[in-house]
Formats: sequence, C-alpha cells, structure tokens
Amino acid sequence: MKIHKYSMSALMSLRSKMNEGILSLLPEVFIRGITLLALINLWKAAMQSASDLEIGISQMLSYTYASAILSDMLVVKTQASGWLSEGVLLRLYTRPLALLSQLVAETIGGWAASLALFSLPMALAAPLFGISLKPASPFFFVSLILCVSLGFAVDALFSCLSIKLGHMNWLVGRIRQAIAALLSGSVVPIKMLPFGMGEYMRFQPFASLGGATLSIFVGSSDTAQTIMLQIAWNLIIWPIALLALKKSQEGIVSYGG
Amino acid sequence: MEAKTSLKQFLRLLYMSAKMDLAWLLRDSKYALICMVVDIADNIAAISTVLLIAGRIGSIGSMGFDEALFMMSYSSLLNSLYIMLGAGNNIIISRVIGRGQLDHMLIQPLPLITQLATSGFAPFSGFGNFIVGIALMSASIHRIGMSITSLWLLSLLIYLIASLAIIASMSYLSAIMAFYAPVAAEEISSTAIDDAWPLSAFPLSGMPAIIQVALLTVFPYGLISWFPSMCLLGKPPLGLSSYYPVAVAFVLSNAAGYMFKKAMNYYTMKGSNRYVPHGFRR
Amino acid sequence: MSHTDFAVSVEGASKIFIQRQRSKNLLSSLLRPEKKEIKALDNVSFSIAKGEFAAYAGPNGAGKSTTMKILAGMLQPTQGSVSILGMNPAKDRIAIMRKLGILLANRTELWWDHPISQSFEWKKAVWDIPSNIYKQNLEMASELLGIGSLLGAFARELSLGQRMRADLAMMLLHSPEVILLDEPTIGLDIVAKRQMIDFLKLINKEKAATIFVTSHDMDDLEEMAQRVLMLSDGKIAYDGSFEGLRAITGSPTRLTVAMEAGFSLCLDGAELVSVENNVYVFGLDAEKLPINSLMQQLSNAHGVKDVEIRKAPIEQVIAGLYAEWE
Repeated sequence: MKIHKYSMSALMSLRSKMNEGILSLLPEVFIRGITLLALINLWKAAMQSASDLEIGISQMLSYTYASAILSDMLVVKTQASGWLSEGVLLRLYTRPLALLSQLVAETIGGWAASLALFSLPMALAAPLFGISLKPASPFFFVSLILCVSLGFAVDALFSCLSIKLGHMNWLVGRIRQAIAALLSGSVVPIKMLPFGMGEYMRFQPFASLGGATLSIFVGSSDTAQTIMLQIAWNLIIWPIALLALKKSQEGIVSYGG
Repeated sequence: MEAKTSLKQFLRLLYMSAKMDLAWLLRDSKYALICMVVDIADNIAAISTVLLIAGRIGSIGSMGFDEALFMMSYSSLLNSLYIMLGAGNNIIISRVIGRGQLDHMLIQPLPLITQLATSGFAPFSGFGNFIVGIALMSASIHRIGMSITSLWLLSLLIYLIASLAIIASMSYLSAIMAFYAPVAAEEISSTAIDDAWPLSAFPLSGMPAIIQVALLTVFPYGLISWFPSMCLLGKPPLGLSSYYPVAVAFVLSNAAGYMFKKAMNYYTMKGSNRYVPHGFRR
Repeated sequence: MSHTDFAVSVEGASKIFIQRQRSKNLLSSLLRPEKKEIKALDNVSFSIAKGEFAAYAGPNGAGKSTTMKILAGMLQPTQGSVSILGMNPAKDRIAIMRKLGILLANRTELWWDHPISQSFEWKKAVWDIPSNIYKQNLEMASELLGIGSLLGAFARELSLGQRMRADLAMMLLHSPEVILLDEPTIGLDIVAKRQMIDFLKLINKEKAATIFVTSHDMDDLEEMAQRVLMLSDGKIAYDGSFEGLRAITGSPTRLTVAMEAGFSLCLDGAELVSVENNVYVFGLDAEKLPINSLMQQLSNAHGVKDVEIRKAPIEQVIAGLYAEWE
C-alpha cells in the first residue's frame, strides 16, 4: 500500500532522531521549555503596565504557549535545504515515490519526537501556569492544516532559493529565521506591531503561516477573513513552488552526490 | 605535552584567518554582500521581539524602552563579536566533534586551544553586524543621555569578553555530549547557544525572582546580555556585585576547559565512527 | 635496533571498540541498549625502517584505518605501545605532526571554498614552513604532480583525481619524514593513479621519506612497496615480500596454455586452476616443478597452440588468502 511506504519513511525519520537515545533529545526540549517560561513571564511583565492593547493578557499567554508547542507546524522546515547542501537530496529521486511526498512524510516523522517529548507534556502542564489551550474556534484546525500546507510550499521555495544562491543552506536558514521572527507573527502577533503596521502586514504571505492560525486559536482575528487569506496564499504559492522545484531539478541532481 | 604557541605565531594565525576571510569576501562579493545583509537582518530579528514589545507597550517590567534598546544593542554587539570570532564552528564545536572533523585538527602541529582560538576569526564578514551593534548602542546611549568615560568603555570591553567566555563555555560544556553521541549531539552547541539566543536577549527585569535566579545561576543566560547591560547602566540587579558575570565567566571557562580535556582523552581512546565532510573548512 | 631507529614501531597494540546494538524495538533500544565488543586490532607488532616503503593490506574491517589513526595519535591503543620517529603519538602529537604527513581515505585537507594556493599558504603558516622549503616543495609538486594550473582553482571545482593530487602536494609542503596514506588511489582513473604512484616512488627514493600505505588495490601496492603487511581480523597475518606472499599460497606461477579444439591437457606437478574456451590455466611452484620438466611435458602434448608463463596475479593470490581467512 502506498500509505505504508510514506509511513515507513516517516518512521525512519523518527528513528533517526530516537536511535541515539532519549537523553540526546532532552537538551533541545529543555531549552525550548525554559525559553517558553521566560517568554511567558516577559509578556506578563510587559503587559501588566499596559492598557488599550488589541489583545488581552490571557489571550497573549495562550498565543505564546500554543506558538511554542506547535512551532514545528507553524513555520514548517523540512530537511530539503540541508540535504541539498550535503548533496544528498538527489537520493529522493532514486526512490519510487514523489519527491514532495517523501519530504512531507519525513518531516512529519521528525515532528513526532518533539510532539511527544515537548508539546504533549507542555500542553498537559499548561493549566499549572494558568494558561488555557482551548481553541476559540473549531476552525483553528482548518487554519492549522492550511498553515502547514503553506509552510511546505514556502519551504520548497526556500530550498530553490538555496540552489539559486549556490547551495548556501545556512544563509537561507538565517533568512528563514529572520522572516519567521519578524513577519510570520508566531512570536509577536501581527496585530501588535507598532505604528499601525499590523493592518497591512497581515496581508503578506508569511502572516498566513503561524500568526494567522494562532490568532484564530485565541480568537483575536476575523476567522473567515483569515482563512480566506490562507486559502488564497496556498493557491498562489503552491503553483509557484512546484514550478520552481521543477526548474531546480537540474541543480538538485547535479550537485554533490 | 602540548607545546606552547608564541604570541607571534598566534598573531600570524589570526592574520591568516583574517586574510582568508577577506579573500572570501572579495572573491565572491555578491554572496558576501548577501551574507552580510542576512547576518544583519538575523541579528535585528533576534532582538526584534523585545524591541517590538517595548516599542508597543513603552516598557518591560521596570525597564524602560531606552534601557531595553541599550540591552538589545549590547546583545547585538555581542552577537557581532560572536560571529567574528566563531566563524569556523570553533565555538559551535559540537558540529566539529559530531561530524568526526576533529581529526583534521589533530594532524596540525599546533595545540588544539590555539587552533580553536584562531580558526574562526572572520573580522571582515562579521563587520556589518558590528557596525549595527555600535550604531544601536550609540543611539541608546544618546537617548538615555549617559556620559561615556574611558572607565565605562573598559567595563563594556570586559563585560563583552566575559559574555563571550560564558557563551563559549556553555557551548563547550554541552558539546561534551557529542563525544559520546556524535549524531544526536552534533547540533547541541547550536541548541545551547543559537537556539537559546532569544533567551539571552530577554530583559529579566520584572520577572519572578525564581526565573531571575535560575537564569543567573544554573542556566546563566541572564548573564549574557541582561546582567552586564544593567551593570553598564549602573543598576546591578538583585543586589549582586557588578563583578559577578566576570567571576562566573572565569569559573565556567575553567570548568569547560577541564571537562573538554577529559572528553578529548575519551576521544583518543574511542575515536569517532562517524565522518561527514559538510561544513568543514568552507 | 632500538625503537628510535625505526620510523614506525608498534608493539603489542590492541584496540577494542564498544558498539551499541540497535534492536527492532524502539523502547528497549532506548532504555536497555545492547553492547558488543569489537576487537579492531589484536596484539599487533611491526616496525618500519627509515626510508622504507611498506604496504598495509587486508579485507574491509581488518583494522587498517584504525592502525593509521593510532599511528597519527588520533586514537590510543587499548593496549601496547606505538612510536613514530622515536616519539609517542599520544604525548608528542605536535612534534610528530611537524614530521608526519597523513592523508586519510575520502577526506581532504583543502579548504573547500578557497583556491588551492590559499590552502597551501594556510598550511605554510600553520606548519611554520620556512619560505625556501615551501617554495622548493611547491615547485617540485607543481612539476611532478602537474598541479601548477590548478593553484588558482577552488577545491570544490576539482575532479577527484585533481583534488587528490592537490591534497598530496599540500601534504608534502612541510617535507614530512614519514608519510601515512590511507587508500590514496581509491576512485582514481588509470592516469591519475599512475601519476600518484610514480610521485610516491620518487619521494621515497629521492627524499628518503618513509611511506606506509594502505590500499585494496594489490597491484598498486606491489608496484609501490617493497614489503607488505597483511592484516586479518585485527592480527598481522603476513609480513614480508610480495614474492613470499605468492609462495605461501603454494602456486605462485601461472601457466596458460591455449589448445586446439578437440585436445585436452594434463600436467604432472601442476594444479589446474581453470579451463575456458580451450585455454587451460595451471598453478605451479617453479621450484618444485623445474622448467625443463614442464617444457618436456608440453612438447610431448598434442594440440598446443600457445604457452604463457607468468607470476600469479597478486589480486588472485590475495583473494585466495581472504577466502581462506574467512
């Protein structure tokens, strides 16, 4: 069965993370946990003296918490650029499976470890910090799927950019990191950007990634409008990503080995 | 016994690294420019969270916007020095260990510490960030209306060195895991430093005491930017001495040196069954 | 001779690695990993005289690369002692590296995104090579390895053969007294291989450099080295000349006889190795079966079209040995 092939790829990806033992995964979990706790307290410290904000403190804390536990999905990062720079991405062409589907399967497999070791325990611990993780709208799940889908398309575009820039994977990684911090709204809600920038910034494609989904999660945005925007960006970015991937195939297979 | 390196040889090695950095910049100026722009954008993005919050709300805890800006400028300046001195994975050392690339260092007729101290020196490609850091710091000092003395500049230099020593020590201490689990811990230094950079850039003013104490002792991320910035602003937090970051840097770097030496002994017994060429001597 | 008279001296060296076994069950693999002891080297002793060109051969996993890493001080033996030019690699790493050149299989010491000349200049600074020696060695390498035109090229742009030549040239810039080469000819085409072999022979002869080389290509090794050490299961299984290696297999000479159709051939004292398209290949020991007796048997035989006598190909000899060891 075809699905078995993909689930096997996902499992291999998970195994490659788990093979070295559970202890090896803990440092990352630990850093993420401490950063989240500090960030929550940063928001608390900042917002206690604030008034007239577009978003309330409990909403903001839920936003930050959900952003941390869903971070892998909110701004998708596949192994594509890394494999490209190591010259091993072409191995995906040697398997009887579609390139993108393999990437998706392996990426989802990679998420499983962090979902089990970080997201699940932190979600269970949320009430201890007085944080609610109940979505404000059931459409949050629809929005999350659209966000993940758009994330894969954007990731494919970044991989193609990496080829264009002579396989400078680390450089593309940093561009992506800067964009995620500034434009996706996954750390600071787009709505809270100073000088009224939020009104315009929500229309740019990166805002349809994590920020859009989180704003539906806490109920700080118009659900229908946000989902429509996400659908629109999916419809625009995916064809461009597929075309770019096709055009980049030569660059992928002729590099390294 | 590892032989000593003379100052002349040390400087010549630094010069060689700088020369190669400049050659790389001049040879591929288009990419070099992109790299510098991206570095600057990344540096600004790293401090954007705090600046956006402080900008929108006006303060964070007891820290006003201008003070937050000063702290971010310190963090930015530190980031530029970190990039200038750690360009060859010599600070993010778990990559070198995990990828089995230490062997390349062991065949050089130089003490390992000399190689590690000199091989990542990239003063030209990290210069853009340095300028951003200086500009941000000048702006914040101007806004605060602080008067700058030579003693203050000396303090700034000492704090920056202490912060770098804490960063390198934390990276090397965590990288010890890479000797034992090369695949799993290949990126552990990056997790401890790069991934945790936002944590080091959080102003801890106004946070619960337990978080402040934890981040100044067991997980000393608060000593990387926040504590030195507060000292430079003349407000050492929690009643601690302004020498505290320097003392921690001294203790941590000695501990890291000792532990790393022990782990190297293990490496020469066990070796590495893994070798990947990527990221090596780019 | 004391160990200081040798370029390389290994006494009773053993190396044991612990390998973690992964079971199919994720959980038990995480919580209770099984461990297995691997003996990479088992009480190995040998020495190589100054100026000698010795080969180190053995099947995959025999312990060749482990030996090379121990000699270079990257690994320490679990037991036994090692010395290079009278020094202990574990203690005198820096002093040894000034006199040692090493190239490990499939690795490059060149800077990837820099021109070759830049890597060479870096080496000059790090190894503290005097300018006159550097210039002299660079000229020699440029001439003999033909890398003059490659000096301005980036390492990443070179073909494997070009990169190996550049790596070899870089390795020689500090005039090493002892050279350790792990699989230097792997993946090279005939021309590149030829160039490398000729160069190494010349360095050994004219600069009196001691060379210790591993390879799977026994023909290459036989051409370069005067002596071969065979490693099997971490133990030295043979140490001597290539001729001696042929002799221990019992039939060091190959006699190939082409027969006319319808005729067959049987020779006393010779072992039939193969018959294909009426071409008979015999293995024989020339000392036990004198050539005049052999010629007499052949002249008495009917239907002989062509005869060829040569040494048994070393690859076949080794293949026989490996099969025996398994």
